[in-house]
Amino acid sequence: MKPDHAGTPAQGPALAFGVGLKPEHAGHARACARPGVWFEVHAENYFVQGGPRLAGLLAVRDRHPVSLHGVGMSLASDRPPTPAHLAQWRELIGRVQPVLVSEHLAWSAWRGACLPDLLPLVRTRHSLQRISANIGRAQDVLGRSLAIENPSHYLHLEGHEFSEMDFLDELARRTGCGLLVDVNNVFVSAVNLGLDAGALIDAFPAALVREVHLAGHSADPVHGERLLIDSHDAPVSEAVLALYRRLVRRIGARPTLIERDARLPPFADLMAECDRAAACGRVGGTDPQPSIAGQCPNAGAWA
Amino acid sequence: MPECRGLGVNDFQHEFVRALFDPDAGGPLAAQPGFQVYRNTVMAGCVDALQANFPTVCEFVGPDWFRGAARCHVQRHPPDQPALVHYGKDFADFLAGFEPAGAMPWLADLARADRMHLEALFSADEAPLPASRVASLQPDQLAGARLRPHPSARWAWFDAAPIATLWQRHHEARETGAGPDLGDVLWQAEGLLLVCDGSAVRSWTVGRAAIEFLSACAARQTLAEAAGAALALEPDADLAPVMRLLLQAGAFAGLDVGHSRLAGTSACAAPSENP
Repeated sequence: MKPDHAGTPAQGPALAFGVGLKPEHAGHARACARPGVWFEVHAENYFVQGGPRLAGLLAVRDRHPVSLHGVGMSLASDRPPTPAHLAQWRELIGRVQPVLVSEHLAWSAWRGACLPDLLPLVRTRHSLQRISANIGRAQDVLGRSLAIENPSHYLHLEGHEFSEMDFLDELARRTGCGLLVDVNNVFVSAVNLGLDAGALIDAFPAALVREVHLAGHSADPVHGERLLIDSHDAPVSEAVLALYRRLVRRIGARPTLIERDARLPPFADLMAECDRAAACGRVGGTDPQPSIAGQCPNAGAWA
Repeated sequence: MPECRGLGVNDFQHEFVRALFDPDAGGPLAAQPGFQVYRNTVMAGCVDALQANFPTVCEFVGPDWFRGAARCHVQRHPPDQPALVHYGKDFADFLAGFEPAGAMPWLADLARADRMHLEALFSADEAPLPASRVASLQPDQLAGARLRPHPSARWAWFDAAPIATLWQRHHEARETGAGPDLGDVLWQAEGLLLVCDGSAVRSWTVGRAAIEFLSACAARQTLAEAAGAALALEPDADLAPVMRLLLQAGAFAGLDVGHSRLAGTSACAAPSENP
């Protein structure tokens, strides 16, 4: 079930801080000279045969490393990812040669309908088996190891047999996948479910973490600060940056992405967000350069 | 606390999806405040995608009306693939039967034009067929030659309203940021041709003969057959300027003169493209 990593690109320059790439920013992204900068896109937005949007992404890819982040593989479904979906993924990977490939511990497909969200699951031995098989299937077809992201939680679900961390850890052990730590999702989930965000962030095993996401959240319009929404429409909060600082002090630097999907600010503002995040890593006198090659034990197979 | 213990993965997901689309659903999931976040996110994701994919329809009816109609559409036709850039293939037909749109019988055709634009924008890249390639055909080759439409070319005849002009005025206004000027639009039937040149989708208002000619070419008919089909519908049409316009628009990508097909960019016949 573990992937053979065929088709992975040669190790490029170290990845430092990146931003989610929107078509509106493609020109700025291409011209960006920030050392170590990289870009990430939602893979499904480029499941197209051609045209200017794809050309814009490939033009950025000519200058900078690009990561592909999936939102629609529905790995926590009771069925495997569809062959058509994986074929589109495979084609895009061939075109883009991404430095990282990631998906979520969530589901979004139900009997032919696609629900554009990251829906929650009950973590049982049965679902572990199912999701391991789905990740294995995806990795086999794509020829790439996935980094699996922790989604935001909004519901108390009865019947969990694993903590989320134990579940992710077991998925990694069974499939060879790595992890993508979304620090904002940890914070949002901790507030919504009444958990200790620090303890959650401390539980991610350093050896598995390949990438970090940082994003902004917002308070629910009805329930206020008791119910936070992973809205990606604001700068990263100080509380989330504090958690990020705690994470990188423990595990070292990792390729870190600023995500912004709504209320898109000027490109320069996103670069400033990268500076804020970078400052977190410098506290204490060290200046770690995030890098897949240097920091991630699993990177050996990628290089 | 919801009682999910003992439910299989599919039971839990079935219950979840049912509650997502039923605002009156009770039960342990829907009773939690956080469930509404999923309802809102799923619906907003679908509606935002439709609004992005059908901008001209939205401009005509206004965002409030559009999003209301879009919500009804999502209930009946949720996305069937995660790539929402392609969502809405049934939206025009939905609008045609949508009772509140009854006073706007042309709205469905406007949605068809938006859909054509989306398809043109994301289609395969290919160099257009140079006009000189057709001009260089020997007289005895001309009648039996076949033109292959460009992968991005989309065309349609709209009987009921000047959809091409309305769509073009809105599209241009969106590019420039100004409001569309529709004061001088003649209410007449029109054809719309869209072709992507690699950097943007270009549009042309064309006559019935051009539309029929393109459709015949797409059906692998010869130039003689395609010309016959065009003239059958528009007997007075002069096909020379029609051909010039279509070639200048880049509406074709390949030319097949019998046994060998000439590709758009190379003088060599493409060996693997026999129809």
